[in-house]
Amino acid sequence: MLGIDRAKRDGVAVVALRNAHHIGRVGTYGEMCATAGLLSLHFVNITDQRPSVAPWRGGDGRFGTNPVCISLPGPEPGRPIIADMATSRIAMGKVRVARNKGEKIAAETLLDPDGNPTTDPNVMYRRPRGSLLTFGEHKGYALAFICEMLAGAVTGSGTMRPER
Amino acid sequence: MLMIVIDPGRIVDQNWMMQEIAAMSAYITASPPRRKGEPVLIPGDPERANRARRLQDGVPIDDETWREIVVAARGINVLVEP
Repeated sequence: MLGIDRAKRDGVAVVALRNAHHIGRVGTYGEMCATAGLLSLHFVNITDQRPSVAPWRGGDGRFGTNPVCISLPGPEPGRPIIADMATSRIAMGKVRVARNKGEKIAAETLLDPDGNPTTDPNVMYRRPRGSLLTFGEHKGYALAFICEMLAGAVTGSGTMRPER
Repeated sequence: MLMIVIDPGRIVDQNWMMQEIAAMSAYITASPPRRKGEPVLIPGDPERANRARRLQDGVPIDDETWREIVVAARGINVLVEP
């Protein structure tokens, strides 16, 4: 990958990816970097979808599940250190699986469209839509906020704003 | 996505860093498990365990998700067994 080659040549590479579709599991890019002996930080946002994650203190969705990935070579070959996570308490995929299985979502994870706590995954599939909470309360919110600004504003790709 | 890739070899002796990472990872994961059979892992271990399990046993897909996949496949004329 371009970033890996450039980092090996120059010491550091900064890559801004824009106008992409779903880029798959971010951890895979982290693994590629770590396997090449490099460390990497990835900040991701989402656009062209209805927002799914509520800001701390907020009652409806304002951004996506905005994942963060940080990776570095691990204690042994084939075992890189990869921290790859959504900044929401759970990923949307887990909400979908719960809905399809007819299961409830754990408390303190979801809000209904009025901003009240709920355990019903179906709120994410209605209009108006419910929202997911961030992990770690205000701390996850701050990371999700940073992802939105780094991946949305700094890359030039654009943020989740509905006007876009 | 904003991605920052750094060659640590420009900052630190790579061999020293790798030894330090290995030694600290060993120290962290030596914390006594609070539950029997659930040792401390390093970030990335759960994903690797999942991958190994799924390569052996397959990827679990609930009935409703499979139904949606079949409907989507038929929508683009791909035939799949229901």
